[in-house]
Amino acid sequence: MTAPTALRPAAHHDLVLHEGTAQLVDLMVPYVRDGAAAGDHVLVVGEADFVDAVLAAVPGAHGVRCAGSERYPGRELRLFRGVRDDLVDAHVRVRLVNQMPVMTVHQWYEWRRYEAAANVFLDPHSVWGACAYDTSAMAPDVLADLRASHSGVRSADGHLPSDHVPDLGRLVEGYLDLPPHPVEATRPVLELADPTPAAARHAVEDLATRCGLPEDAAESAVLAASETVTNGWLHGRAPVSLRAWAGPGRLTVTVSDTGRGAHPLVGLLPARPESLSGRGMWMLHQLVGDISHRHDDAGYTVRFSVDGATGAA
Amino acid sequence: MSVRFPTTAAGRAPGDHLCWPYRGVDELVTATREYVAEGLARHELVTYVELGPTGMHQALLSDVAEVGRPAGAGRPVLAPLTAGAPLPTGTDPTVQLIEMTRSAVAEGYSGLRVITDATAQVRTTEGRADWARSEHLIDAFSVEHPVTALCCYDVDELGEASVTALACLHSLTRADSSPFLLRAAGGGTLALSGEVDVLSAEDLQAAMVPIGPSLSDPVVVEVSDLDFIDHGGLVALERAGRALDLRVRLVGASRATGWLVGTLGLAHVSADGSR
Repeated sequence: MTAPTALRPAAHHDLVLHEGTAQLVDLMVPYVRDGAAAGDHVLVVGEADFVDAVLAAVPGAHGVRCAGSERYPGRELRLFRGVRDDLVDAHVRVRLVNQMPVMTVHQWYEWRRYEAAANVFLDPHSVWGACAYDTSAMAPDVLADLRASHSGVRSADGHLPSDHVPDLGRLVEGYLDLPPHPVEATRPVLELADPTPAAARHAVEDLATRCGLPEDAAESAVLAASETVTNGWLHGRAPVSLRAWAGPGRLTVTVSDTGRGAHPLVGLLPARPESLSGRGMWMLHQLVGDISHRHDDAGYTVRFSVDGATGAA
Repeated sequence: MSVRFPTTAAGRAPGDHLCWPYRGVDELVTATREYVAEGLARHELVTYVELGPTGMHQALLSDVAEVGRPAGAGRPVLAPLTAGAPLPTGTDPTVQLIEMTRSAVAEGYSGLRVITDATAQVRTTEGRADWARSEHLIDAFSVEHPVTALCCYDVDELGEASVTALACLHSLTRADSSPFLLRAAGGGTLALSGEVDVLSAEDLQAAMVPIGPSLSDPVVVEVSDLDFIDHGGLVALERAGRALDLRVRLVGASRATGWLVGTLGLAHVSADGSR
C-alpha cells in the first residue's frame, strides 16, 4: 500500500464543538464572515437548516446541503480537494466549514481516518477547515481523538489550541486496531476460501440479486468484492477469505487475509493518476459509504455494506 | 459462460472468428471434425490453411473429410494459396481471404469456412505481435463477409500467456482461454466483452497496441456486452490510448463504468451514455 506524503503543518484545522444547530450557527457565522471579508472562497457543508442559516447571514458564502445518510468520508475529501485544486492557481484561499454527521461508533472509525487524512491536504496558505461535532451526540473517547487530529478548538469558550499530534504516523497509529463489526459474530450466508477475483464477483453478484439489491448497488458490491479480493492476493497474505451476510435490500461482505494490513489511511488519499496501486481502494471509498478496515492478530479485514442507496453518483 | 466463450467448436455461423487453443492432436482433431462436418452440411467451402510445416493437413483432411460428411457434400480442401510456410511479416491475410471468399461464393458455396493452425506463425515475440494485427484484420473481415474462421494454437508449445494474448482478438474463444475479447465490430469500431480486472488489464493494453495502426481516432469501443471492468481495465485503455495517440470512446457503458471513467479523470478514455 502507498504511504501518504509527509504531514505538512495544518495550522487551521479547527474542531468546532457545539450543542445543537442554533449554537453552531452562532459559532460559525463570524468565522464565515471573516473569511468572506478576507476574500476567501467559503464553502459550508451540512444539513440544509444549518447551511441555509449561515448563507442567509453571509450571502457571499457557498453551500452544499446533504443529509447525514449521504455522507461518505472518501467523497468529501475528494470534493474538498477539487475545490482547492480549482482555486489554487487563482491564489484564492478556501475556508471549509463542515457540519459533521451524527455517527455510530463504527462510522466514527472511518471519520476518524478522514480527519487525519484531511491534515495531509489542508494547508495554512490555501485551505482552512473547521469540522463541527455535536457534543450531545458524541460517543465516549471520540473527543480525545478529535483533539489529536485538529490544531484548534472553537466552542462557546472561545478559540483555543488543541492537543494536536503533528506527526501523522503517530496520530494514526492503532487506527485499524478495531473490534469486528457486530455482523461478523453472526453466521454468514456465503463463505469462499481463497476465491479468485472472478469467483468473488460471480458469487457476490448472485447474492446481490437474491437479496433484491437494485442494479447500481449490485454493481457496486461486485466492484467492491473484486477489488478487495484482488488486494488480498496482491498486497495481503494467503489464505484469503470472503464472507457475506444478506438481509432484505442489504448486503455485507468481509474480505480477510492473514497479512499485516494496509496503511491506516488506506483508500482516503488518491494515488497518482495512472498508478494502479492504491487507486482501486480509493475508488471504492468514492463508491461505497459504509466501508471499514481493521487489523488484529489473525490478519486484516475489509468490510463493506451496500444497500439501495449505494451506487455511482 | 457467455456464448462468446464456447466449449465446442461447432455451432458456428458466418461472421464467427473462433480461437481454439488445444493440448495435443486429439483435441485439435476433435474440434476440427465437428467444425468441418458442420460447414460441409451448410454447403460452405471448407478450407484448411496451413501456415507452418506442421504436417497436420494430411491427417486433418483425410480424417475429418470422412467423418460426419453428409452424402453429397463436398470435401474440405487445402487452401491453394499457402505453401506450408509461415507468412512473411507484414502480410495482410485478408488479401487471401478476399479472393478465397469471392471464389467460394462464385462457385455456389454459401460461404467460406477456414481452419488454420497458426502456431508456427507466433513462435517469436515479433511473430506474435505481427500475427495479432493479422487476427484483428481477419476479425474485421469476417464481420462483414460470409466467412467463418477457426484459429488453432498449440498451448503446449506456445504457453498459456502467449495464446491468451491472441485469443482475446477473436470474436469468440474457447472457454477459459481469455477472460475478455477485444473484437472488431464493423465500421472500424471495436467491441469489448467478458471481464477485465486488474489481473487481466495488462493483457487488454497489450491487445490494443498491435492493432492500433488499424484504428482511427477516436476509436469507438462498444461495451454493452462487457460483464465487468474495473479501474485497472480502464487505466489499461488509457495507457493504450496514450501510447497510440488515440482517444477511446466507450459506448453502451454501464452506469458504474461511466462513473469509474469520470471519477478516474482519464484523458484518453470517455464513456457515452449508460445502460
